[in-house]
Amino acid sequence: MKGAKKRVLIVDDEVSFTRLLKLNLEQSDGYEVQTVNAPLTALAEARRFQPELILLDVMMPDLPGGDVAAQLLADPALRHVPIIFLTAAIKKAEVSACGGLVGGLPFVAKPVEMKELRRVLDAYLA
Amino acid sequence: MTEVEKRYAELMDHLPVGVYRNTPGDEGRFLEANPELVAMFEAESREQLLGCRVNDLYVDPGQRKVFCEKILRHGFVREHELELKTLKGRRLLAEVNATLKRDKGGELYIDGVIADVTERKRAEADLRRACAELARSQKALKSTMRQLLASRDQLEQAQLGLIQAARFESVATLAAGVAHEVKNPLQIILMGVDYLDANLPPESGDLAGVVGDIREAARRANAIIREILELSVAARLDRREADMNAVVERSLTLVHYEAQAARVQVVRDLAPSLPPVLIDTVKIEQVLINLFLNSLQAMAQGGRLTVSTRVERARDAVRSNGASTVGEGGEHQFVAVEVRDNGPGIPRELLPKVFDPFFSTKPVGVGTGLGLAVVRKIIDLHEATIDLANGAEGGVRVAMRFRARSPTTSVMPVPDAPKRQRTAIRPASRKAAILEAR
Repeated sequence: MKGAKKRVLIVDDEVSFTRLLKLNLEQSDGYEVQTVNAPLTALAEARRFQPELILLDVMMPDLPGGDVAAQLLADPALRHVPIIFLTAAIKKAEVSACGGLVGGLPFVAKPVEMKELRRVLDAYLA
Repeated sequence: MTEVEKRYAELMDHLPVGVYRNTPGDEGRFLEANPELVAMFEAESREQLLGCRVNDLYVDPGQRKVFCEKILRHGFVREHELELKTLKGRRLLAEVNATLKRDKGGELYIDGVIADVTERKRAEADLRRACAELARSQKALKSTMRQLLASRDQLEQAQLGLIQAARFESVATLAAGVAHEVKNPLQIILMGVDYLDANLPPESGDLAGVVGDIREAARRANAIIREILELSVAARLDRREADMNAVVERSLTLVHYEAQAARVQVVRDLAPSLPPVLIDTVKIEQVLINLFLNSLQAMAQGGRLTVSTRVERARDAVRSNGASTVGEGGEHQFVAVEVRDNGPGIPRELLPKVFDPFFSTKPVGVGTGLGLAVVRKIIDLHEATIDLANGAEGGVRVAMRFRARSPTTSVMPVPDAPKRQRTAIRPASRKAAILEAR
């Protein structure tokens, strides 16, 4: 993957989480990560960063993840960027019971360990 | 008339009972009658009464014959009851005390007193009826009391159940709220641990152990949270027609490695051609996996895990809202699933508690105490039954019964069996992946 870092945008209001996830992903050299803790700025940051994948929290103040996703999907330049919801609001069993998709969108249930999250990202970014 | 005769005549005239003298036999007639007797038989005068046959005063002349035979045999009668009638036809019940006499000429006659006991007898009959009624009421009261006591017992049981259910629900709801809030900090801990782990210097010794311990603790906390959440969200069932044997097989596949690692032999005793059941297959798999893992953990030194299915017929054993298979005589068809192990079993005094939340016989840190509570909740939601007991030959025996659906009453489509694989990722549409980590 060297030389072709995958750009991942993380939108989550938990500063500690986004910081640690960024550190974990970037130390592998395979990812270039941008974090957003204020969901109202997510669309602008996505337009600027042009990510190849977006990890999006669901329950956030000011703007829920579903609304952020709607904004991103409405943008012609971002419409085809895969969005994965990463949330504590749903259980792993519920996610797996409906084939990893909730309302047609992929979900990953928190808490998730890096080993598992990397597999999901690799599957999407392959 | 002498003074003595006058006194006796006066006594006779004023006695409040009828005093008479008459002759026995069919043609017997009154020879003497006091005013009370005249009044008793509603005669216009003493002469009118003396002029009639004694037989004419009997409702049933046969009674007169019996009376005469009795007094001729014994010489007297005491408290002899007769059904008589007045000259005007009014009936009365009389009680007679009489003695047989013989005059100087050798003729027989009877001296007696008659009391009108009509009212007394009616009162006695009323009393008897009242007593009988009272006895019936008493019996009914006793029966009602028994029913009331039984109802009270049932009510107490229901109350206990409700209190337990309410406590369970409130604990589950509260715990679920807390659990959800705990997930985010737990996620940060796991991310931090992952980062530390990846950046540990070589030969870090104890540091690697500490990081590993933190990861295990976080995983354990996560397992507890997951089961707490199961308690609160298990209510959302996605029930479809399914083949229980297929659900059992999938569940066994998911514990295949654990069974191998525990050197446990898995025995399948599955009845062919089970009728379909209306279940949430994911949740019933969860139930079976939970039971299998409990058994595997109980047989740490190896053993045998037996899973059997069969069709049972019974009446009203399980309530169900779904269309059910009703056999002859109102019987229902059930699919029974039994999970048996040959581990050490559960101490008898602990058996009533096994389905309580946070109850566990496993060592601290191994069990969350929520597994069987979740199992019970899922089974209850399916309106099925579950019984956990020690087997006759040792080990634990868990028996479940699900109401069967008639193969001809297919209401919901039978979906393809969901393909699940543990800790595996499979791309789905939109390059989605399933992440499943139990």
